[in-house]
Amino acid sequence: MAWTARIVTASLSISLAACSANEKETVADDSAPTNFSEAESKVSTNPLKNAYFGELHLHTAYSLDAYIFGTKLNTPFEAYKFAKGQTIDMPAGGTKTIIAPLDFTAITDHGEALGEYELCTSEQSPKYDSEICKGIRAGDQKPFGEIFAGVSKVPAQRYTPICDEDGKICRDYAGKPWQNIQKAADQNYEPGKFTSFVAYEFSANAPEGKGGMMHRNVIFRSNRVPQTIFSAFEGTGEQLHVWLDKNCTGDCKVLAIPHNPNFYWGRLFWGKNSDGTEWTKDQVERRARLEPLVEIMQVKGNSECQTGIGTTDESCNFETVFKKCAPGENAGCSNENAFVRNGLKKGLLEYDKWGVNPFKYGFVGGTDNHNGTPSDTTESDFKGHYAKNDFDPAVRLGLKANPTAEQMGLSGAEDPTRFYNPGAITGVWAEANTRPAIWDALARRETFATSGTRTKVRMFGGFAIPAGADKQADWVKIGYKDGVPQGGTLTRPGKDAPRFILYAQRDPNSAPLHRLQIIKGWADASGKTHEMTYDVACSDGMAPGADGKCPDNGAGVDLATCKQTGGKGSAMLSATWQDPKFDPKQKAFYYLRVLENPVCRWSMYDSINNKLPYPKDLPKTIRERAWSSPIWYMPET
Amino acid sequence: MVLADLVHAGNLRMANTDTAGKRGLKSSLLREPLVHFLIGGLALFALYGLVGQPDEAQSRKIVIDKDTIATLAAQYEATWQRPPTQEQLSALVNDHVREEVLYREGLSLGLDRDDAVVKRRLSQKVEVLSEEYGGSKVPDDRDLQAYLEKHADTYRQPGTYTFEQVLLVPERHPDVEAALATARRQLAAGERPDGLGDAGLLPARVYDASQTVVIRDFGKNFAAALDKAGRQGWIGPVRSNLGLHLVRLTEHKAGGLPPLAQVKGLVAEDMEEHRRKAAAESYFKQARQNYSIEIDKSALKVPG
Repeated sequence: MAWTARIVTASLSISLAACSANEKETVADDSAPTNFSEAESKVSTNPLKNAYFGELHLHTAYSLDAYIFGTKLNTPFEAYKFAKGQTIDMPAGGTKTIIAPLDFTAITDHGEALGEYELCTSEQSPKYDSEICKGIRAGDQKPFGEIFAGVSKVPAQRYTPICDEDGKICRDYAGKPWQNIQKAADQNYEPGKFTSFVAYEFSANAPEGKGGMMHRNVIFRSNRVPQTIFSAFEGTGEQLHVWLDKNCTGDCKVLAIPHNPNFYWGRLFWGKNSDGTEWTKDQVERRARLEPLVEIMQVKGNSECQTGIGTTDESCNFETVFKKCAPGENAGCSNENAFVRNGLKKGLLEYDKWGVNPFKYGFVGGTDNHNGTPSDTTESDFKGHYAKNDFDPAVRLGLKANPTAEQMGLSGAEDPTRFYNPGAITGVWAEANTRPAIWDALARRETFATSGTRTKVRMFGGFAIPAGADKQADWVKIGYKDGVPQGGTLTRPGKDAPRFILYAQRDPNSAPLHRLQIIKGWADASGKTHEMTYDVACSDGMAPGADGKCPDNGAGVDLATCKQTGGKGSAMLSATWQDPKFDPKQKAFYYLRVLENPVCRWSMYDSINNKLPYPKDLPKTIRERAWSSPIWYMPET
Repeated sequence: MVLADLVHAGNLRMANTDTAGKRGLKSSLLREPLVHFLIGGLALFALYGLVGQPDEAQSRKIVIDKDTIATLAAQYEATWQRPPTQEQLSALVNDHVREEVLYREGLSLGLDRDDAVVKRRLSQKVEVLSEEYGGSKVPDDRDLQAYLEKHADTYRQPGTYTFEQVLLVPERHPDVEAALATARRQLAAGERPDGLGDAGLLPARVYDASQTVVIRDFGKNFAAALDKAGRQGWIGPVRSNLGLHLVRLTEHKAGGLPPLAQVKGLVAEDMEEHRRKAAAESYFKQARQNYSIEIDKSALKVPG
């Protein structure tokens, strides 16, 4: 009897167990990529450019971590439906529809476990019936932990129970999902209406562990892409750059975007390679060329700045995840190298060493959500970002540990989930909604990021811009004629200090605007960096007071209902601002930030809707915001 | 229709899987080479078993013919993106023989009976085959057009608006009525809207925007006003979250059914999916009549 029973278990489970659920969409063929250039050339263009909103950081079932946490049905094919406004199923139950459709989306599944995903979910795979793969399909988190622990090793090591000693089978099996990613992108590309980018995430982990990530989203300009991908198992971020230079040539064009610097454990802006080796000129040059952008905010926190860490700007305390590091610490906490604003300042000094600025970053925002729902960023209907892991509102509020944290022995209070947020959005100013137009806008940094709303911001800077230009109906034309747009660089000083035209327009679906700010960072002759935040336009017709700050407009929130109360706020804010302390010898950068009137934070909605106690360490309201990419002043020497 | 016909029809469809629908369990199942193989083998076995052919389990002959080898090679190539080497092909055949031997041993031991997984798998296979119940023909344009019209709600496209607008932000004007009057006068004198009203980030002219896009950029109130606007020239002020707008609708393309040519692929796919579901349901209904089914109703009650 025992013998029969063993035989039954051993043989009949082979390949028969799989079809119980429609676990994945498998569509791959080897046809040459569609040529969209004719369709693209027919799209009408606006030389003064339009604002387009989109997602540049999203995981679907193809990311093995998302899959294990329950995102099994939301493949890239479903994610594009969500981006276009269709209602889709959420991984842990219920359905969701985006508040307004997106203009573009790049789906960035983890390159690291694409092969492992395919090996464990494709019935033909030789590993399909292994205990590990069965566990993965059943949502066992242990193999997930082990696969991703291998990424933190130096050098990164594949998980041998699935990938064998040489890892070859995992590299080979990544081919099919990589083709499906391309296929989903091409199927959903509608030049003039909706742009999809072929993309993936390179996910190297920091050797300190503790969840440290040194990740980059790799975004291709067209469907001419390398046949394989380069993951953290193949090398470091710096080796990724070399690989892209070698394997993405001719019609293939690519950029890489480092994301959430707050989780890099300081390794993004520390002035060395990610593994701690010293930079070479080639490495700095490649980095500057391939990485024009940085993700300033996402689900796992805002990385613009944190009050008390290189800045006194009180508005920096917004959706930050970690406390300030103790001296000498860098992991699981915030140090001075964890933030974009500090990185921009440091970049001015690095320029002196290398003749090129390795931190010349424009801004994008993303979600990094693992539900397959791009730009699912609305505070009022946030249902978590990580499938079954944080679908329970008690988990999101930190009243209970999430299943992964629980397995790691953490309590709800120790789990950082409650400090996370629904994520950010990227905006671009581009001539048309096509792959080349939007990708080129990304490459020239004519971008902005919002903390999740569809607020639009635009900035021009130049020495010839006249006073009061923002009141001119043709201010955009003036901006392009007499200055450079956000992301650009001024090199020759004029007679006077440069002027900046600054504009912000509210999202009709969010709160009105409260104040428009410009943030200046500069380096002095002694090699020290400085920064200053100026309020340049205030809501409700008010002006900055003697302290240089906009007065309170009286706007508030009724915490029983989350309705906005009090002050009106403004639909639009603008200014033409001239730098009062301009020094033509000092390198500098300027970027715009606009703050909205306060609204309830997602956690407040969670607490009200589910009648749960509100954690003491969470803010009840937030000011949503938008940031333009900087304009640099780099005097020619 | 007997099952043998279904098996035949199913095999025909295997040859056409590339043009089959792309959605749902059945279609993704059908694209799996293993399934092709298993349906070719296992389902035939099931068929022979049912119609009283010599039991494969009893047979002691295993034939690895040209087709089997070609299938194994194709399967390998689909997975690894390259053809197998001689050595690999031999190994594939050996594995296949091994599997076949153990499989037949399992059958003769009766291990397939009362196994939930085997049951589910076989019932799925019959379901896949039954999707060809009643036969299928490639629909022509007239069939597709009829389907499109019958399911108009699924394919109806939203209306689009082309319009011009001038924005006035009340807080920028001590007397906004006067500012509106000035703008109206300028428009009436034939001035282009581009330079009028308050400068901002809104376009003066919007082309072919769906209602969703109008709502996204201008808000619900504005979209509703636009929807009611005729072609009587400049109207307003229309209030939005952004301020007051003078608006001129220049073109409203009614939403509606797109021409077949525009959505042909989608309709064909949906129609095929629909036909399959209906065929499987119809087959099931008929097959069910061959069984007498007794359900213990007293045990069916959920306690409480």
